[in-house]
Amino acid sequence: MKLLNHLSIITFTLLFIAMSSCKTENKGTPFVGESLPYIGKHTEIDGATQYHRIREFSFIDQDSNVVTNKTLNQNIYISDFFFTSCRTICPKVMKQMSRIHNKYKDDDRVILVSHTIDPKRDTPERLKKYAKALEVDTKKWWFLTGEKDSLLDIADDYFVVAFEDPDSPDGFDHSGKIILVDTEGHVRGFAEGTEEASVDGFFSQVDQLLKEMDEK
Amino acid sequence: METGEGLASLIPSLDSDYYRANTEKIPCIIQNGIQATITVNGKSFNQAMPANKNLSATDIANLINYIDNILLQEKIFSSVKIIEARLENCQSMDN
Repeated sequence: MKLLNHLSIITFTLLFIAMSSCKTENKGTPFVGESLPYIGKHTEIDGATQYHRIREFSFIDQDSNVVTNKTLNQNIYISDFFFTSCRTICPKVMKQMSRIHNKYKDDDRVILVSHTIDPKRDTPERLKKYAKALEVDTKKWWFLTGEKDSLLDIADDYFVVAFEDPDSPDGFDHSGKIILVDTEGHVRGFAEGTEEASVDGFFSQVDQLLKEMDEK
Repeated sequence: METGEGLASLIPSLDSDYYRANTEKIPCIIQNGIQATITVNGKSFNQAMPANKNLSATDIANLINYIDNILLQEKIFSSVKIIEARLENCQSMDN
């Protein structure tokens, strides 16, 4: 009981700190239409707040072009993780990614980036074939492959669960999150890719980030 | 996706000429997947459909009855016996 009391005091204190720090950083609660939060751990370095940022990466796309953080820094991008032979959640998530692709088809500032977590089978050729079957524009939507460990590790930065699991029907387990990243590599929003309603809400996050980009 | 409408040229629609013309073959396709290019509602599909070897004849009967009666509203009932017989004939079919 005593321990529980202590815990609740600690939790309450942490919550209070979290709420007050949120206030100063975001200038208010992040309602729709207001500024988007910076998701992930914030660290103070020399008095300046450093937000969580996607690590340095180098992958190749469906046309074997090298894609790094620099390739993407003029754009905001929307990221997910999948593999072409996945039978479980991927088709549903791809359907929602296709909706996002279609909505921002004519906006060059927005790029979609799907990472395979099964690079052994998902070669650039296979990803190209997959993109063609999805009937999407590969100038707008990139399908990335690379070193397996790098792909699985970078999922952490997007707060996506992705790992090899021999007990899973297709050999991998992963979550169907769709993640919104700003021009600086900070995570600013996300949607549940298996839920249409969640993606409906995600559109306003993307629009908000585009507005923020315009105001810079 | 929930209504079987498929996705682009990646996943064909269940509400299709192909599905209706291949009643005998559908249980085999569900169980063994399909590698060949197929034409569905006039469109070509060349992405492999993975196998589902762990599905029993009862599972497949339930699935097909759901597709026929709930998704396609066709009021066709397939017994487990019929599905078992079709699964036994899979080898003789050109998959």
